[in-house]
Amino acid sequence: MKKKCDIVIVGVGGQGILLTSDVIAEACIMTGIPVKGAETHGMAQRGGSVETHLRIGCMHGPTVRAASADLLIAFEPLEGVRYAHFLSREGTAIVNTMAIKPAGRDTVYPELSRLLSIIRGRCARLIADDFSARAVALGSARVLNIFMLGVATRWLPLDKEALAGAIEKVVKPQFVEMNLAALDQGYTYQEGDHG
Amino acid sequence: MAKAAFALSEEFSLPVMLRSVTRLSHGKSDVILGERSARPDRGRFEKNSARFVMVPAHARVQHRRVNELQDELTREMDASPYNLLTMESGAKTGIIAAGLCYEYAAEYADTAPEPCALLKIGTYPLPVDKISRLLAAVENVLVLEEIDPVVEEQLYRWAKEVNPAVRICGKLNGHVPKEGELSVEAVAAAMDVIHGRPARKSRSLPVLPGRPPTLCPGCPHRASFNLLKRVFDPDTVYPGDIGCYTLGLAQGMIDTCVCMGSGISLGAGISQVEPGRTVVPIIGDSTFFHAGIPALLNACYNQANIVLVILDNRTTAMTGHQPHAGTGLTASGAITLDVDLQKLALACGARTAAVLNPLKVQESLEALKKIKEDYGVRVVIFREPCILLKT
Repeated sequence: MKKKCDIVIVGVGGQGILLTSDVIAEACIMTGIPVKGAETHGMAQRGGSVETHLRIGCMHGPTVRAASADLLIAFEPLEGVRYAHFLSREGTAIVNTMAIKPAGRDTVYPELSRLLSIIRGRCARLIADDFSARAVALGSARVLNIFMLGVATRWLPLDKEALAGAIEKVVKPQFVEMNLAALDQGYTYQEGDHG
Repeated sequence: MAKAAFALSEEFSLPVMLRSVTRLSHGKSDVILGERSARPDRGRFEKNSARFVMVPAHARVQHRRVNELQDELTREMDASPYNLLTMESGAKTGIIAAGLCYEYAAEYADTAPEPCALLKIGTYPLPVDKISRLLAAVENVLVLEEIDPVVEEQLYRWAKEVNPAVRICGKLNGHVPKEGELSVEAVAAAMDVIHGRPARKSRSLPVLPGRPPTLCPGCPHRASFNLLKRVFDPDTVYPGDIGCYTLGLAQGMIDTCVCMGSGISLGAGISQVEPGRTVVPIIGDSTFFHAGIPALLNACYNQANIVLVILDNRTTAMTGHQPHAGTGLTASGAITLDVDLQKLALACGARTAAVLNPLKVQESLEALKKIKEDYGVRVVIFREPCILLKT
């Protein structure tokens, strides 16, 4: 397991980006790995484009360098492209394909296939799926973030138990069980497994 | 650093300012906890007029004292661990980096093609001795600091004394971008230019549709904006303020955002110079309590002609739902008085002050139309809790 990992988590404000970042950071603390992070929050997150950086095992600043992220988790495909320049050529991108159209009558949303090919062209591995549909099938669109964290677990220098422990600590008590189930389901997710 | 700042302040009987930057304030990292020192929860104010009463006679003495302390403070800062000099043998280039920029410089230096000396600047007064030692030892100096070139401009003074031939590279001669956040990439680009290396290629991304932040679905501000649009003519001026409602920019409902409370003052001024124009300053409840009261008082006193709209969502929504003087809770959650906005507005001298529920459309429309026909300083309080308090 690689100890250093630069992660960029992006999406639309309200998709649980900061919570995902908090869970990973908490799991690092519980595991005893140094971690740093930088985030957008407050008003800037409401329905807007949100990016958070997490640097596991890093001794320097909290922001990930261009073309050096080991992992990009995108809860929305357009946002995945917006921050694709952070991806390292050896990196992995995990992208939810459910599009959220930005506000504005005249906004033209790009073709999904084009968005995915841009991301694919910048990294070693792209895992793209309608993870929102899977979250809904699990009982709530709100577990999208933790489901995708489950999918991402195998590329993190953390084990699933540490993430589960962090969820118990960070998530509101009434939602813990639902999120632990989502983490499990994401963890066992197989590409092309559309069942 | 906050702990060190307090210690320094105590030692020198001086105020010490701690300056943060966005990236630090919005960042997180492991923190090494120190020992918590016992702090008495009571103190005693010792009278000392020479120190605390800044009438001119005392101020003249204090000014001399502050000036005389500068040399001692500079020596103290030279010894401070927050100013860290790392000399590298054979280094022809040094990087002087202030604050968070040091992390970018250090990350660059880890894999840099050339050895470089590093000086981290964490304090002001600047550590003159450490700066001079670095300047004397190298041929090039790259200065990294965000916003203004404060350190860079002073370097020329010391370079003249210790190494007039040293080449100072920074914002002043275009090696470092003058605006925006710095990064490891910006450090690498500047070092490439300094060492005559070709620029690194980066693959650009296509132009994408933007995604600006918007008001939340169900936000009561949307309802308030809708009511105002229906009642006031399109030429109405809406001087604004800072809060979630600044996002009303997208709906054409915010015409200014300068600093807290300024919307009311600007609106009062505009109403004086454009007597025929409808002026509707918009401010949130928390911002009003923080900085709007003197501005409202001034508008009333100077007989402005405005409809001041206070969007009372019962919290400080933008920054994460902190309580304020109108919520009945202190910052630590204890029960306290709940200041009545309506009474406060009337006490400031407002001609009328109405509390409306923006979700009750017909009722609010009728009330607003009547308020519009009136004159002078009229206050409308749109009261409806932030939607996030209900979810």
